[in-house]
Amino acid sequence: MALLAATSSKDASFKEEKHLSALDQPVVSQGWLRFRAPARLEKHTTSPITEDLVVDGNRLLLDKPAENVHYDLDLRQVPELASLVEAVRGVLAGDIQSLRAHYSVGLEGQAPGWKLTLVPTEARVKELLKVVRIEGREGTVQDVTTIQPNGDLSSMQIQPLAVGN
Amino acid sequence: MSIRRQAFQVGLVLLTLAVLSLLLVGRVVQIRTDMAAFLPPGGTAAQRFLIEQLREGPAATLILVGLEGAPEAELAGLSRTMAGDLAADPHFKLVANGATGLDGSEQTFLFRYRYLLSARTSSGAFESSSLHGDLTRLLGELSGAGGMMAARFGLSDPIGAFPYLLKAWLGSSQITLKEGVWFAPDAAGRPPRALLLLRTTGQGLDIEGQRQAKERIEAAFVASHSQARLLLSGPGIFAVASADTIKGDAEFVSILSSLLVVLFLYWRHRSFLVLGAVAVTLGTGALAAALAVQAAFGFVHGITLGFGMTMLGVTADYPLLVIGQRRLEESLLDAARRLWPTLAQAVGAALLGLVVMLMSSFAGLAQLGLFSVVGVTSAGLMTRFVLPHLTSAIHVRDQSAAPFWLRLADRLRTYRFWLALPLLVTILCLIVKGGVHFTTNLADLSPVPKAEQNLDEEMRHQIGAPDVRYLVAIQGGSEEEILEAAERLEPTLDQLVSEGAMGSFELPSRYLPSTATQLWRQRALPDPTRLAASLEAAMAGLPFKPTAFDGFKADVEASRALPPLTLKVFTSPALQARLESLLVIDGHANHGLATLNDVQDPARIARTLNALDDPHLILIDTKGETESLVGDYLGEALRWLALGGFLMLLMLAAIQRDHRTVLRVAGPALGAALVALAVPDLLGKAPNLFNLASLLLMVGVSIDYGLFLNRRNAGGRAAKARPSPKEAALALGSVLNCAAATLLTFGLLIFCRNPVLSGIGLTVVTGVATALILAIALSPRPADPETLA
Repeated sequence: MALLAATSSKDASFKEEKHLSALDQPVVSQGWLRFRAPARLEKHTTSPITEDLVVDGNRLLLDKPAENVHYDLDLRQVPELASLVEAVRGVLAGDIQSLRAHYSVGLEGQAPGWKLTLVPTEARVKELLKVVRIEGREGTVQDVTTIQPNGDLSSMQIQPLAVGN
Repeated sequence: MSIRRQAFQVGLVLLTLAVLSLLLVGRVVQIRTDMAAFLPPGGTAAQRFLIEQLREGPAATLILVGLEGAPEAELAGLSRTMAGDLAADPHFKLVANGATGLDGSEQTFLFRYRYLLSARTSSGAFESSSLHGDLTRLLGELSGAGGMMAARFGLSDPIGAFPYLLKAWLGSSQITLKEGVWFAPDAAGRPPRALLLLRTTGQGLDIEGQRQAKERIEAAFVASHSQARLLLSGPGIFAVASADTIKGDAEFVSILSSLLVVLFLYWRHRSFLVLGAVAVTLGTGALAAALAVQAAFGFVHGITLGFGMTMLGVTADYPLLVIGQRRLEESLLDAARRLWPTLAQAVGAALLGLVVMLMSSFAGLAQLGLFSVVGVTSAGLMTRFVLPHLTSAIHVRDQSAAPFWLRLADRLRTYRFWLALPLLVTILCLIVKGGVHFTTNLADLSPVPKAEQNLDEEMRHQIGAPDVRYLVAIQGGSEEEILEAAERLEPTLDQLVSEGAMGSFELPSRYLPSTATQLWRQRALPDPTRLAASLEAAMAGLPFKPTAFDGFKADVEASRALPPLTLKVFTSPALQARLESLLVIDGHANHGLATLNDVQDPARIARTLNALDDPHLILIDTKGETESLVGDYLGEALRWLALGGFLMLLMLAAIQRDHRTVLRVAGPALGAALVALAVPDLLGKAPNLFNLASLLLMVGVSIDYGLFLNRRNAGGRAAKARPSPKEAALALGSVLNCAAATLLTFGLLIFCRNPVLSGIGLTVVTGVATALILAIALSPRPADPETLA
């Protein structure tokens, strides 16, 4: 956690695979991530569609240029989404307090190879999310897996692009 | 009885009056301040409808809130905190700041009825080709950041009926969402402005209720300790501001003018007992009047009380006339007895002028009439029967007019025929102008500064709130008939929006479609076999599992059996808050309402709606309707004025039996009425309903001057005898006292910011001054002019 907290700026590429109960085969998307401590997280999807998601503090911006969709929301109005964002952002920022506010946190392994298990504590979030598993090495996150109560699973592999200052 | 003892007695009486007033007001006397109680019932259907709208229509109860002067994030936070605070406050029926305001159960409810409520439902939407496009889009959404939501709602609603429904709700306002709350659209050089829209529980004309609502908003704002600026607007806010201006002005003016009158009366009489006598007369008059109005109407309106008290101010004349004309050797009781025939005529004339107001169907004017009638009667009786005993020890300086005034009066009498000239000029001016132009525009009575009216317009435009001015009423029939009429109206209004005649509109059918439409949509829903077939074809080539849309199939099937929604089963509070003002089903005056926002071309809208030739649709221009309403009552008031004047003349003729005296007494009053009507008009301050009411009062006062300056000697035994110089000087002196007191009271009103108050001031001052000059000029010369030299 301390190692995570030590780095304030991270850029990475990602590849996400979603296994949905409604679909025969997984849907795959790719793009890049950017994190600026303490609270700005960006997820830019480049394939199969272009989509920009920016979370800064409590503000959530979502742009889908192809569909001319533009959302500007306050995370506090959508608490279930807020918890989800907190899971990723809390880990990237190494903020265990923030994680514990929404999840019961389990930690296995040591710095060279660690594994975090987050189980939501709030009822509204439990309806959407069963568990979040995050794996990493020292100060970097390598894999984020979310499992929903209906068995829908998303797995995101992360490759650091360059370590910022 | 010693002066000291009487002063004590008068003090005691005044104290009793004060204590009684304190005890009775609020307990026995109910004071109401809502304009609704003051307004007339309305003659035509459109007028009645309008008054109903003014009371609780969607436009009347709206408050627009703007927040600016801080960074966007702070404004958004402030908007959320305030909305949270105010939503829990019973003063507000609706608090909207951008969040849908739909809680979980409301969303579930709407989601269940989505295929009946949403215009997305059509048989075409369930064809395989259309479904294929929807499923492809859904697949894209599932892979994206909103995938979780897409899986939650999209799989059971691939055609997107629910988002379509929510979008229709937002209408076509130009509002933008930032951080989840409403902001005015970005414009170069303009700081960000967060917007909230509130609807009060209380009626739009209930000033007290609106004031409380305003205070709650301010409290919620202050509690946030923000550096931002709070902007408030809306009819209720304007009403409160205008009431406050009136109150502020009235308080300032009444304190200052009372002080001036007290100083003047003391300077003239050098007696505190005189002040006491005047105070007792006014106090008992006001108290009796308030009690009488309470007994007759069940409440006293704030305006009746305020305006009525001002009107009663002139009854101070009665004690002043008796005290002033008392002869040196005479007791106050003897003077009151001697002067009573003249005083009684003065009271009678004033009453005849006022009593016609009692007949008014305008509740406010009828109250004012009763208040004045009782107050004037009480003051007359007090002067004759109570004051002579209560204040018998009054000893005042000789109230004879000073030689300067006597010479001036003599001059006026000499040139009396020249005075006809300015009167003729006035009449000529009026003829040229085509008569007196009364204003029926309520906005002329509104002290809302132009800047605030502009801000209101701007925020209304930004938030897409209904214009206060234009409404389309959909009248009569059942809930179903009204909703069907609204649906028929929709394409026309859409057309008008696209032509730019207006910005947007609201219709009840947007939230609750008619049963016919819901049934039509139900029939458009495919049966399970057909849906399964077209889904299967639509899924070809897409990675969906065969079971992926089982929920969708089940929901469509369930929708086919749902009973159509009606107002009765529409249980969602957020929906009802929106619908309530647009659809009123109360069994006797069912109606729907289309509110038109940001109207640009009213003439075009009127033409288009007329062309529909639908008798159930009425386009209401609230401004025009109010004007015709006020116009009707103005006409009524003018007829009473004429009738009152005629009755006064009849009474004078019956008592005086001498046409010259009748002319001398009534002439000044008529001339004064003429000038008082013409002067405000010629000054560009078109007279209004309240000017007319104050005219009645002014005529009543002017008659006093004529009566007392023409009083016959020795009770009329020598009918044609001229008054002695001493009598004449006393009469002139006391009339001058009265006129000065009245001018001091009403003169300051001219400087009020409120157009109603300044109008009353102007009417009374010009009228009283004219009446005084004419009454003096027309009065007979004293018996022995040599004594004047």
